[in-house]
Amino acid sequence: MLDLDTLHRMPTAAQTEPPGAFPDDPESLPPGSVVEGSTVHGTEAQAFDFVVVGSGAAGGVAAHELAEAGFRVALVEEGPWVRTRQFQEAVQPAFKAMYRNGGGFVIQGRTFIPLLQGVCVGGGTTVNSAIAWRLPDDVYADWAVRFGVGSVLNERNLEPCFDDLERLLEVHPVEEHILGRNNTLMRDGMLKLGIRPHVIDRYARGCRGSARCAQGCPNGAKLSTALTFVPWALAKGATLFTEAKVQRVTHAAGKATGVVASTSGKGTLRLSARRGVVVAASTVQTPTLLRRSGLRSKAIGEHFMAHPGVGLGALSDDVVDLTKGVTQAMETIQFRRTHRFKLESLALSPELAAVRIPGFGASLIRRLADFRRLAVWGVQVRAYATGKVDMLAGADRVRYSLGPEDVRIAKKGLRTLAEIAFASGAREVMTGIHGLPETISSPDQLALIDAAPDDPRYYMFIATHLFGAARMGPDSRSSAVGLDFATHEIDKLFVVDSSVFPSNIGVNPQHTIMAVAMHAARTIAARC
Amino acid sequence: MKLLSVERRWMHGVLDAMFPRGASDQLPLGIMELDVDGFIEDLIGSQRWVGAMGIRASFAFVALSPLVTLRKPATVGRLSAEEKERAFGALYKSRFYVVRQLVMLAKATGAMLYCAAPQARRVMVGGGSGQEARDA
Repeated sequence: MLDLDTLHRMPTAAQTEPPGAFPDDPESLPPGSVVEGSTVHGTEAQAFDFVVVGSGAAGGVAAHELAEAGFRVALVEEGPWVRTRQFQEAVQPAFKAMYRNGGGFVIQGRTFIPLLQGVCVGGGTTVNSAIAWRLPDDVYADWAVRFGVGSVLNERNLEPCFDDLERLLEVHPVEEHILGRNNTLMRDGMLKLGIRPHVIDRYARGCRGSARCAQGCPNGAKLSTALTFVPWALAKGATLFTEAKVQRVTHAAGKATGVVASTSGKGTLRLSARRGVVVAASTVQTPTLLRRSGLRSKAIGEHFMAHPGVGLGALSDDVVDLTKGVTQAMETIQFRRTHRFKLESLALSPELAAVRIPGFGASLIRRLADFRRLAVWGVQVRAYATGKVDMLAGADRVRYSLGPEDVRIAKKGLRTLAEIAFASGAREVMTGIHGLPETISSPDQLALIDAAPDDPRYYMFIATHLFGAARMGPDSRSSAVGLDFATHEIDKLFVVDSSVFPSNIGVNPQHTIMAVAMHAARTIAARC
Repeated sequence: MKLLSVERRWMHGVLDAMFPRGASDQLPLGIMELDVDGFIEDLIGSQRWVGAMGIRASFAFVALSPLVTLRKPATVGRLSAEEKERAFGALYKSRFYVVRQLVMLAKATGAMLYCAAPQARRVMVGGGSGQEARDA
């Protein structure tokens, strides 16, 4: 294992100026730097220093760091590279092209919780809202005390990475003129109630507020890894393999030696890795890949955590128009530590918002005709629940059930959102809670939310932020990955995504995922 | 796997009941004016088998639900407007979680098509090109 002194001598800030977003033109990439899986029909073998699995927040950053350090890097992505010019306004084509199981992946437990995972170059960073939050102080402390990872996942290591990321990805608060009414309405309501609003910091350049983050930014303004770290890595000599699903990591004599991937062209890639394999396939796919690769640790797949969310619709007399303005630009973290929830605006597309509008038939159509007056906001719950990731019949599976305490957090968040809605001038709110009236038209009725059952089956949860399932720790009996980011079982097999997080964090995790991956890659580059 | 013709009829009945034509002066579009069959085939084709079976099951369940909800041997497509309202109300308010999930899945599927249509989008958000985008 690398000693701490060596670690602290490593470069802690990127030495280069921000290279700028990639123009998203394949011709500007080095010739031969992208191998599309659809073109690989037979068996192809290539040798690299490192193979990085996954091109999202963690994999994209790790590949770039390793390439910048001078290593020959292969970056393997299960999904296709969907270009900016191919992004569409409708949701279904986006789900089909860029989301796992066409948007139909579901967490199983007491409830079915839809889980939206990007499967494309850029992974989640291509389809999320590009929200940047540094790891909160209390989480650093908690991870050090309860999980023994304080020597690695600490301020001294991660804060310089946050600095670099914010400079490279131009993190800044959303500009006032592109907020849109869904965001300003939420701010108005919060201010009237004395709640502190915060304009969200995002990775963006030239955002026009088209509210299409979930379908891929049509203006190339969201600085996903597909527009930044991935092409930057390719410019430094890395090779990207798209539409190639890594089936297993190969290893010999206790050391990782490469990966075997199947391509969409029904071919096989055998990529050897002289110095190591870096897995960043997501909290669901990383543990299942480790299992398929023969690792036996009981900690693999355990300790899965999430930030389940619930939404609230508010109908006002004003035109809101969810399609104009930044998808997510307003939030408050005032309740994060005291009540374990964070409130956010969330401009859902009409297709997704319609599901949350009550009614069927004529009553539904009449409400849809009034859609322009609808605001949608959400509660992000820092849930206590833990789950398990495994495979069933060859498919990834997540088993996870929210407990009553988690539902109470969600209820408190929904009630607060409803109060904000009425304070902002809403004439009725839609809680989506089974058993309550379809709409609540007066603050006097808010006690109904408090009285709703603490049973997750009464609510419409969705999951986006995932943690754990191959968590880091000093003890191989309770963790899958050691403090050097290598698995306890196989040397030179590294895990650098949010699988290693010991817990959920209560804020949007992309920034922390990137920072951890950046630090991990620098550590690995120095060690290998 | 392609839908059986009987499944297709059930699906048409359910979607037509959920997103009927002429329900609103502002939004007169009915979902059956859109390419329902093409959309559903495409959607099911993009899912793993579990998801595809779930979508098919949701339409079959909702279509046949009047047998239980109204004690009437008819599919949803053959009910009067008032009966459809009652049938959906019963499903929506069911004490069984799985029942509510199935009906929500059918609704979500229809919403994906209906709300992306330019005729609907023009009213809902004052413009847009969801359908054109999908056709592109």
